Amino acid sequence: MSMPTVARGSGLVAVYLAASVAGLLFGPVFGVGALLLPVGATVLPALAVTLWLRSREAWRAMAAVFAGLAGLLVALRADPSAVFAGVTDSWRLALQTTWPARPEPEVVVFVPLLVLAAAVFGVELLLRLRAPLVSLLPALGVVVLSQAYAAAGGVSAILAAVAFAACGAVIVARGIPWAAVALGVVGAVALGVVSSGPALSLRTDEFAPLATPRVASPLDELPSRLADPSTPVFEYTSSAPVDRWPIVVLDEFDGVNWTPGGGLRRMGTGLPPAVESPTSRSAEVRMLGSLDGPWLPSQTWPATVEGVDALVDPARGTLLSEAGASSYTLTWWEPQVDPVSLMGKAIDPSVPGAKAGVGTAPASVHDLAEKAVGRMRSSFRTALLLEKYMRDNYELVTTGDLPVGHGWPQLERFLTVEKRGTREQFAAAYVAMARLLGIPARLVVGFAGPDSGSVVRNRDALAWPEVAVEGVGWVALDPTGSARVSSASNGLPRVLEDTRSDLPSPDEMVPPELPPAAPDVAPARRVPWALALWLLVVPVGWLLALPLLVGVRSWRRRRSGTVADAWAEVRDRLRRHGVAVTSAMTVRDAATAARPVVDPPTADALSGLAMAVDATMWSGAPVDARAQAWSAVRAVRSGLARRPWKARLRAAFRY
Amino acid sequence: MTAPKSTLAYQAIADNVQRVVRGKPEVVRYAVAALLAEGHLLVEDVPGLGKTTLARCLARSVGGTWNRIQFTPDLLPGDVTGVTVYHQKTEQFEFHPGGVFANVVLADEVNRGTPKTQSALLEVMSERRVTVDSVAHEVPHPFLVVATQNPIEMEGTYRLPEAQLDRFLMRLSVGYPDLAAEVLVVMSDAARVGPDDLEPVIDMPTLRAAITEVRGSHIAPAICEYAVRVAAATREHAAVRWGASPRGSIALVRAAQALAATEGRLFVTPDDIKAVAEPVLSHRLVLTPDAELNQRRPAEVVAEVLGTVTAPLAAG
Repeated sequence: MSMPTVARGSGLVAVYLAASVAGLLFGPVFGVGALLLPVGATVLPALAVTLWLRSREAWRAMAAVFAGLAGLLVALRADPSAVFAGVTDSWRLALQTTWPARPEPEVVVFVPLLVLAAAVFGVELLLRLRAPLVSLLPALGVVVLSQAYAAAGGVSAILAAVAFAACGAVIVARGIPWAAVALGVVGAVALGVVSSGPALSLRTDEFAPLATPRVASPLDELPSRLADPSTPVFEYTSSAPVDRWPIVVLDEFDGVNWTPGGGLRRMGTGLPPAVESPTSRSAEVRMLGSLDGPWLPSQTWPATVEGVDALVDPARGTLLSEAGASSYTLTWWEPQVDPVSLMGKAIDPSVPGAKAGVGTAPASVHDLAEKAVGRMRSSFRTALLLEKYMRDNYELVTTGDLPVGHGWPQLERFLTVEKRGTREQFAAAYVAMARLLGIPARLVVGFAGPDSGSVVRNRDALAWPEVAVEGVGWVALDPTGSARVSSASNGLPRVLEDTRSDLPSPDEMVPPELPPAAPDVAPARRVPWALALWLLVVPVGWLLALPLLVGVRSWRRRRSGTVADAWAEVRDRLRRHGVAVTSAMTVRDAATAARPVVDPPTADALSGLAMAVDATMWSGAPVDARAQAWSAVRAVRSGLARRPWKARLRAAFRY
Repeated sequence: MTAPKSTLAYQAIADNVQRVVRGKPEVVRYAVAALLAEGHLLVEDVPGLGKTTLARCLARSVGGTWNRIQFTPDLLPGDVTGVTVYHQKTEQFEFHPGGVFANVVLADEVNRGTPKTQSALLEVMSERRVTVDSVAHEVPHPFLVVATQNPIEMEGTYRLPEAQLDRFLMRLSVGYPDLAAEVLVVMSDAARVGPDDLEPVIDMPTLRAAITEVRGSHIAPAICEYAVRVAAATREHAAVRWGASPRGSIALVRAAQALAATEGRLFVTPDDIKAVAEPVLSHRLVLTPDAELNQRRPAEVVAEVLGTVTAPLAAG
């Protein structure tokens, strides 16, 4: 049984620092700045208490935990129930939120709790065990968990690895072995270079659950809205008119029903722009009461939402609030598009939902689609050609006996027999035919901007298709040719209107160059490279660093050359060879314990070392037995080198 | 380089004793070490293992006076310490010294004496003087009590209380000899070599000089601290109700000094402290009732303590 020893204060600080660094690796989730306060407020009081009570084995851990929790409660201004809820739920809420998540107590609290647990557990390991580096294992566990949330790369990975190496060095050695730090830097740089691939994250399949998973499709509500055209739905206030207000994106089609795909997340502090050359716009939306269902008017690339606790589909822009909302402020991104270059753009098959199916399509519709675009290869021009074909050959019906339905039977009848249909049939037929041609398209239901004023009414309800254009994102089209484009608009609809006017006939069109093949990345087959690298680099680095650390330690002792260092060197060598040399043992005890392992000459060398230590340390006389002691060290080293190669190999990887 | 006087004294006495006490060099070593440390020795074991022989050999090897007191239930304190008797011819009270007035006192089967008699002996052991009728009488210097007791026969015995056990520097157990040693014992008996055949091999001035030399041997502060930590650790052990007292710490150091002298050293090492810990500390520990029910032995506790207390220079 080992006797507890009181470690140096620097070792305890290093354990806390390592745990804090591990906690800050959750930076991609919350932002490093948002984590500094809760982590610091938890760690500093706990560290102070640990340093104060480090010799009180029975109270140390409990007191540190209480001090850390108190600091956390003060920093978050949260009550204990929030902390308790955080223990069970916050880790999941963080996964269900867009990142950076808002640092609300019920979401962020699991990070400082993890740091506190890792630090306190690590300190106990440091003070109770003989292998000091084991104290970093709890912090390393936090690192692994943080990487399962978001893999670190580049500078953050380098800084974290260097900090970890420095903490390990402080814990192990009395100084900082710069060789170990250098090894940490090299490993971190290598990690930063190779970890740029797709990473597995626990959030990949973790979405916010809906209390009402089945709601009526807005697509089915369109006829009823158009039957009551004057009812106001919402009004908005913005610096410029807004042409479209998407409500929901329906990108899943099985031949019968159009349903939304993807998943919803809690809205964090904001979403980054997903388009090139973005500009920011905002509008204040005030609901007027007739919008059924949980969806809120949104935009394709929302940035922030204030005033409502909303769920968002980051890939589609859909906003949703189960509690409803009276008003909110929406900020969104819009791409800046050059009208000259838009025509030559290629389609973007890599966007989410681009490869959604169409069910079992009738052959007649397939032939019709190819005929509409003159068998041109898929491109944005092809999409515009298909739009033009529908505008020229089909009639929009808005009054009278309206045809209903948007499954394949109704669409086939609309396209091949009736050739007159509603807006949703136009949009659904366009999306289905575009997909048959290989053009990524989706069906969006929402509202058009009002003719005048800012109140959006039922008459503005609209369904339209969107196609994915490389470098621009989703571009809304109008196969009916009836949508209005505000004269004040200077955004994408206006640019698109200009592009249509320059569209040549199918006979004059030249197929654009082939786009580069998109990587066929299926989420289920992604390899968790970052996690695998961490799991590989850490043990490999450990195995490489150990002999280095051992060599540095041995060199420092030889340079010092004292008898005490000679004994320490022999002690550690025996330990590496499996001899259980405890701190309660003297040199002679170690020699006795080593008898099953060493040969007689080595045992004699140990006896010689014992005499040298006794004469130097305890005789009180000025005896210089350093040469004798280090001669014994060499003899012991030679004796251990005569052991079987398996035993020497095992010893090489022990500290 | 000549060996220290104390080492020469040890070798002379040990060689002489081992002419009779065969096959037990370590027991003889500790017994002589107790003599050099001027501490009292309690030899405890079952009958027939040579306790009394060892004590008699020790006494015979030293050139001073020695007495044997056979403890029985009817032994009176005055028989041990001495009495004052009125002398009719001189019309004065005269002090008649008891058995303790010798350099080496063999207190045989000390647990058969009554507690009152035991107390009289143990008081002398501690004070090294006898006070009768308000007059103090010094016992000779050096003064060594070698007591024996039988731990298995409880009928008609009075177990020594812990407070009085504390006065003994060491408690030794002779133990059964191995086969070869027992053959030697039988051959010695056949050759009629007994304690009475031994001649003194060291005179009193030489022994006193050796004792003085042992008391002056060097002990580093770290060793003193180690001894104190070992003694203190017995007080914190879960199986111990009452651990070693500070007198135990002092005894550890003194016994270690003497043991170092038996190896030709005039300085103490941590190994010396470890070597004397069991004979010095085990009889000073009072175990908890649970530990006794579980048949734990004080020697086991001492071994556990030695296995946990960090040795000097070994931290890390």
